[in-house]
Amino acid sequence: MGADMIRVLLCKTTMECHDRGVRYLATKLRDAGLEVIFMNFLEPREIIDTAIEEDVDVIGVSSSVEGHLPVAREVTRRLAELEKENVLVVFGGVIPERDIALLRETGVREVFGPGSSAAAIIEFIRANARVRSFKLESEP
Amino acid sequence: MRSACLAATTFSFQWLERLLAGSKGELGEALSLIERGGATARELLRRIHPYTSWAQVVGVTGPPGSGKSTLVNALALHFVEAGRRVGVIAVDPSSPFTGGAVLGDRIRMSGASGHEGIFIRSAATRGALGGLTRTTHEFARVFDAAGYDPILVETVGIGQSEVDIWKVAHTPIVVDAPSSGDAIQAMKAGVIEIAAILCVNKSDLPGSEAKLSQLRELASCASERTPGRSLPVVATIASSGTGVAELAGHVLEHAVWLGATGRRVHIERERSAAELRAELEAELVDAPLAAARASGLLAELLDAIGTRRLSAADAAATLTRDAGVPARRVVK
Amino acid sequence: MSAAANTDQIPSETRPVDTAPNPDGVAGMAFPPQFTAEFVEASRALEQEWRANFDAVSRKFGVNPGDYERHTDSGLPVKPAYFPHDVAGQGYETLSAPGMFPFTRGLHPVQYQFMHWANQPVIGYGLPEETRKRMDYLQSQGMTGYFGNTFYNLVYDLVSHEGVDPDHPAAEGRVGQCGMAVYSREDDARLFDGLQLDRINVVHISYYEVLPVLAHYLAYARRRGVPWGRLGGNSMSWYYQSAYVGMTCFPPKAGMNLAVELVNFCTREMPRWNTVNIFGYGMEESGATAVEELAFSVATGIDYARACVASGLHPDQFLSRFGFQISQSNDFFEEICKIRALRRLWARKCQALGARDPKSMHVRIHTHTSGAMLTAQQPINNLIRTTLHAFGAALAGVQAMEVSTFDEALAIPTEHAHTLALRVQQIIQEESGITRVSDPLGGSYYVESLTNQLEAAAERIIEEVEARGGYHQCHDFVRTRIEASAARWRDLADAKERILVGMNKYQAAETQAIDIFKVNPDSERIAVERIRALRARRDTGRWGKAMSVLDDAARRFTAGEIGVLMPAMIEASDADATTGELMGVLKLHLGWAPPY
Repeated sequence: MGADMIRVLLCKTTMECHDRGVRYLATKLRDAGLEVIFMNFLEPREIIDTAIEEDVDVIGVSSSVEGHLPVAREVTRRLAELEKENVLVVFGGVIPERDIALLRETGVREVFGPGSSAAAIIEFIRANARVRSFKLESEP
Repeated sequence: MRSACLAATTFSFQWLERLLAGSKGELGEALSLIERGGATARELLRRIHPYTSWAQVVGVTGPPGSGKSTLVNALALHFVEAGRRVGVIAVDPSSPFTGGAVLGDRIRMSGASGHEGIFIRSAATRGALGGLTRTTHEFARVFDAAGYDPILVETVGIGQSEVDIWKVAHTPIVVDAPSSGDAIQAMKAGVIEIAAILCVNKSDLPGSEAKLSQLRELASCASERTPGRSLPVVATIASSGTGVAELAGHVLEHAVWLGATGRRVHIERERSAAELRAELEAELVDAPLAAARASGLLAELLDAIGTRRLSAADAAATLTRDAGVPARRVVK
Repeated sequence: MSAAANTDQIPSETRPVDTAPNPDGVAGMAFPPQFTAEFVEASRALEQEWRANFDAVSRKFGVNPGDYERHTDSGLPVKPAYFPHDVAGQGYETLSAPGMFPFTRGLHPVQYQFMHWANQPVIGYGLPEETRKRMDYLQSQGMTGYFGNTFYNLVYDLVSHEGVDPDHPAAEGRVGQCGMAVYSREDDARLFDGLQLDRINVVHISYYEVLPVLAHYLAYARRRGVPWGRLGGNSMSWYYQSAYVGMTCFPPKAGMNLAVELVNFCTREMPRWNTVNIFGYGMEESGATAVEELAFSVATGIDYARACVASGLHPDQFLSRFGFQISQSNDFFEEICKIRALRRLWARKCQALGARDPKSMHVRIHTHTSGAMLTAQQPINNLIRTTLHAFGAALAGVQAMEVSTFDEALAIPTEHAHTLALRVQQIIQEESGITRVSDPLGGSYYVESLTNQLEAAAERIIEEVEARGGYHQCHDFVRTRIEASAARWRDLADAKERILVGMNKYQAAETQAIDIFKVNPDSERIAVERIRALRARRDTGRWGKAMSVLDDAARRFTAGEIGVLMPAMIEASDADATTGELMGVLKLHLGWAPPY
């Protein structure tokens, strides 16, 4: 179980009141055997701080009230800085069609619109989340 | 099944140095390795062992709704403001059916979360019984080596097995709130015996006076077992910080008392016993089982037991023989 | 009948309730039973006969009669047909007449015979002048309040809700989104200059920034020479929603105290102002069933009312300024009965609190048709849904309406969508003929039965809240229940036991291409420039002094003193303090954290 576990950070901005969808997704991810940490963020750096401590494999940002592009840019930028580009970043919610390509350009791997099923999201995560192996260098 | 992203993480000497200096990125990765288990994890534990010391592990346990997370948040902030580096392990139950978990304690620790001097890790029980994970004590060791002290462990908070907290924590705090009904019910047998401190949180709610006096009664009985120290009962309102300084004071006093009376040595022995057992289990139980599962032998053995061709004892003997463990002498 | 300003102008024919408080109904009026025992017997026998026929048809459809059951969306069992004996046990004093306690059949003797409900669509996006354009446009399209006045239902943006200024790092990409970028007295001037403040009603839809935005409005009104006592409008005071809404907020008790401060201030200075809005809609949107929306609305209302009484006010001084914003969702009859049950429940609770003036016991409802039931798939279908919702609200008898626009699930409304939502109301008002009769569904065996069921189910939940010390003491309990209902709804939808046309049934491959509204990207830049210019331009000495007075007032407020905070806030606003700065002071003294 431990070797295959996928840890997911699900988050939304504190400015948005709608969290019904993302909370439901959290339970579905659990039902699919994943571990989910849920948080609300004010600034994007809080997402990174949490992702580091929890060492998550996936970051899922829920957004239905605009403001997603600056968040995507900052999160992907910081991950690259920390050499953690193998963390999978996905967005979901009510995101205008015209912004999907722009999100992808920042490094967001997929955008899940309002009709997306939990099953589709889980499948995507399973297929694209990193598989880690650890190695300790021999002692000098 | 997962085709995509193979990520090999090599921990170098420099990585280890940064870990021991308390760097968060390395600490996060180290905890993942420990959770994964296996030979590399045990190797890491071996290498950091010399750097572990007497970091105080504080357990926070109690029924759901008692406000454990808020209390841990408040305590962590108190200690970090006093100049300490604080580690937090927040445990939540894994689904017994799917193995997944929603780790929902961190969201209630908004003040502590993201603070430079506090490191919060959410951990799922992953099949371990009771309120802790199989690796909680190993997590505590890693935090210790990385310079975090105290280490606050918030347990799942349900069931008789909450008693297990004493195996990991030097200072178990048992939290209750007025809303959770009868104190005797809430304080399941054994739980109060292991408590170092009792706490009534949400003490602004109706019924808190009654709960406090109930707990004080229980505390005075329990105190008879520890001459020289009476079991403190503290009233807190974690959401506003009321009583938290007092609680933290008792935590620190407890550490001093443990050292002065030699009890800490005793607790460390228990922890070492738990660690040794865990190592043995990993070596002699988990590894052979995993190998047997992979080779298909396990399925055969289980069938054989199920159809009564083989007893469980004989099946175990097969596995230990295969693992090179001397056979148990059979008493005739 | 009025949700806001002009109740004093409506001739009151309501029989006074202040003589000899009668727990069951209107003073001195007791009703004989509606039916004789023989009739009830006959009705039961009739039902049995009908039921045999029904069961025969049921079998033809392959459904075992013993297995047949149907429920409302909130899970209350309903029969396939209702009969007189279903309401025989009910004393008629629980219904009485429109405008008579307990107001089940309506708040006033009249409903829409002389004046329609108020059109109150939510408006707000971008810069204040952009919002003003939409306000003027809708007004030109016939958006009407009471007595020919216009009601403006204005929503503030996300940045405002978080209580920061538009140049805060977290505000990037969110300025003027989901609401208007109004952060100061100066912005109010851009919004309201040219309008006659004493002839309009202004609803300030904010989350936790209630006092700051009102302070800006009052500072602005004073500069225009309009006495506060002549201003009509609404403040939300939705602090209690932090039980189930995941936004950063004040702690529950502090929020309640802010509401008490506002109620006290307005009782003295602004008799036409509505101080507390019970936002059942928010509960429904978060997943609450109709029963839960009903129960928690009443529970939080009486909790706040009790706090106001504890501050030294008599219920009749402030209760008439409590308003309700209730959802109108899919289950057509349940939603109607929810409103009738709400009127009866609230009236009784208020009477128990000590209210004697009938106006103190009124549930003045602004309907917000459901947003959660609207789909992003085939959005034009939403026009049909919102029509049914609005129609149900009109039959139940409400005071004002915001009809969700059909593109609600996708973005804030285009002009076209906004206009259509207005037309929904206007067509019902002008063409359907339902406005001729008060409480047209009253007396229906089904409707009265279901109303009773809803009331009983809600009472049970209210008891549980009260047993925990009142709403503000049990946010966890409220949240757990609402989350469970939300999960259940979703599971039913996934299992196709709850149908959403276009989503899990009758899906269409073709997409309906509709225009999506986009906020002008320059607006954010302009708003940031303006706030910086404001700070640079203002008299720093005067501002500094006012902020220091406000800081002290906030300290005294936290210590329990009522009456100093609001005046200090208004003076700070007049000295060009911004919403972010005013909220900053409150956050410092009260605490500001995610709720769960």
